[in-house]
Amino acid sequence: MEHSYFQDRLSAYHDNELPLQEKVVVEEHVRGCAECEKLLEEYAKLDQLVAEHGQLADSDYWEKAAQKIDRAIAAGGQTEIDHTLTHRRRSGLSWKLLAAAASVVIVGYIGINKDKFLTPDKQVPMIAAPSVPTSRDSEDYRKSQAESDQRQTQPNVKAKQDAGGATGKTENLPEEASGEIEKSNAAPRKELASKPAQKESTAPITKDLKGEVKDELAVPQSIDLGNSFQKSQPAPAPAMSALTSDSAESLKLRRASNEAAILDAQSPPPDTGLGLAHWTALRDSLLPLADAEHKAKNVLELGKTVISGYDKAARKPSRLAATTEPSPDSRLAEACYWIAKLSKQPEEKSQAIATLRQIGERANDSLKATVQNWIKELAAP
Amino acid sequence: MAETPGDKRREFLAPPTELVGGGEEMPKSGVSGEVAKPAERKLVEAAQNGDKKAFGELIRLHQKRLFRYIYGLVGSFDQAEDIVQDAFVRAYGAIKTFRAEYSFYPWISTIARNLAFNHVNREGRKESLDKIVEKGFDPVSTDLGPLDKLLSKEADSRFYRALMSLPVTYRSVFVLRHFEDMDYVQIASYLKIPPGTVDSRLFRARQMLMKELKDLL
Repeated sequence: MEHSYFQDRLSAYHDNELPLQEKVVVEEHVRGCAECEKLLEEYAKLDQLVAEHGQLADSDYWEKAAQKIDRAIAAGGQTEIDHTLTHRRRSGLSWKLLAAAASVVIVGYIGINKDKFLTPDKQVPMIAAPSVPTSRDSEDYRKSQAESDQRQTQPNVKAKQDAGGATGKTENLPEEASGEIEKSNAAPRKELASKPAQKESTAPITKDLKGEVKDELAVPQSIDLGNSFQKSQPAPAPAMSALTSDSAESLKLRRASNEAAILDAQSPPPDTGLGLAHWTALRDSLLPLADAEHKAKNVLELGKTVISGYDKAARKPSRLAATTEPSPDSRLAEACYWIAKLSKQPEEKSQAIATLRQIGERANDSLKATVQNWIKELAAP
Repeated sequence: MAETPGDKRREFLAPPTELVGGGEEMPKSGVSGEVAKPAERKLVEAAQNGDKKAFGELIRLHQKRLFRYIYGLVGSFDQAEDIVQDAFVRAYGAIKTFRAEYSFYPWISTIARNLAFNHVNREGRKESLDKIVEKGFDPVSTDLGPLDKLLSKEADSRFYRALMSLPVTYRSVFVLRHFEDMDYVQIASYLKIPPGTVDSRLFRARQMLMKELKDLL
């Protein structure tokens, strides 16, 4: 064997850490090798040096340090090290995962139950954007729009402004309309709620539109159209009255009963006597909300999968299902049903049925069954 | 496979295997199996009955050795001071769980060692370690700070300067072997490295120290 091999092994030999067989071989080599013998002596001297110079001197430092520890014990306190150690353990992966999962659950839950969490004053008017009448509006709507007075056109301008505001396209609005917008922005919500149907003043109608948009994320358009349709249709159906209610609580209750009626009947939704334009506008306003809720549910499901075992809320999906609010999907389904029923344009009809099918695919069992029944009925000659 | 500085750091910073809870929980009594001397046993039993003075005696018996050990691991006077203090505070809090028939020092040193390794881990010594590995052995630049006051001779200071200049992976093995009398298997188990690596690191640590302290040998 090479001399360097024995040099490398001498440290372990000195510590008596070599296996017996190797120890014997190294011993034999050391007996005949002056260099290795000297190295072994140096190891022994180093041990001695550590023993001699590795000790710390006696000093009053030790008594002071001991007294400091005594005081810390007497105070029952913990040192800085203690806190940081605790912090280190708590900043492990499990805590980060828990925090992320909790965020997902909270965001998802709020997304689904936004009506509960957002007070009317806090709700953003972004949902007003879809309320702009589109080229898909029917003849009925155009007629009713033409019949309505100037006050009734101003809310639409307001709605356009809301829609344009989101994309920064407000510069083309007439000055008069802009003035109305400013007025409506300044009006308090309660005052508006108490005057939902004033005809003589333009401001209350605009305010009412704004107020209802804030109250009802899902149905801003219906308020606007509802005012115009109420004039031409003297006997509004229960669903319509719910939409035009000035009480958020009664509105929720009526919506809940409305959905219950829809789901329980397993038959066509009650004919509210509303025109195609109403349902089209309602559908347009509900589409983004229904999509958002669907996505939020997906995120929630993902969150529940990731954090199962961590978050109690994730183990209680019934909390989400327990809401008595009619879901955007159920209202969207109702709107699509009536569009398909009332529309005379095949393209619009088929589009409504396609949306119904989408809802049926992603809906829960009861709504799915209802929607399928409606589709069957619509498909029947 | 070639060993990189990063590997060395991970090994050094790996949580000790023989210790429970990485510093959060107390280690078991009698890790070393060493039996307590009667006088020490009496102090422990008195401390278990709430006698803080008796625990103070235990502190004074072991603090110097414990400090030297922890200083050898962390290489900082202030941090070693904090860790030793925290170890005794924790030990007092858990003294009733300690079995008095066993020697006290292995228990308190295990607590302090846990704290020291967690401390090193938390401080994230990657940069300093890489610098040391890259820079190599440079005992002259090492400043011992307040420790110098606890060293009575110039030779003592030279020894500690040389020790503190070792790369932390070499120093930890050397300290565990020479200050705590651990064998290779114990060191390997504690640092989660193979016994052969303990052997080679100790060999290199000795070579470096002997080269630097040649005139003292």
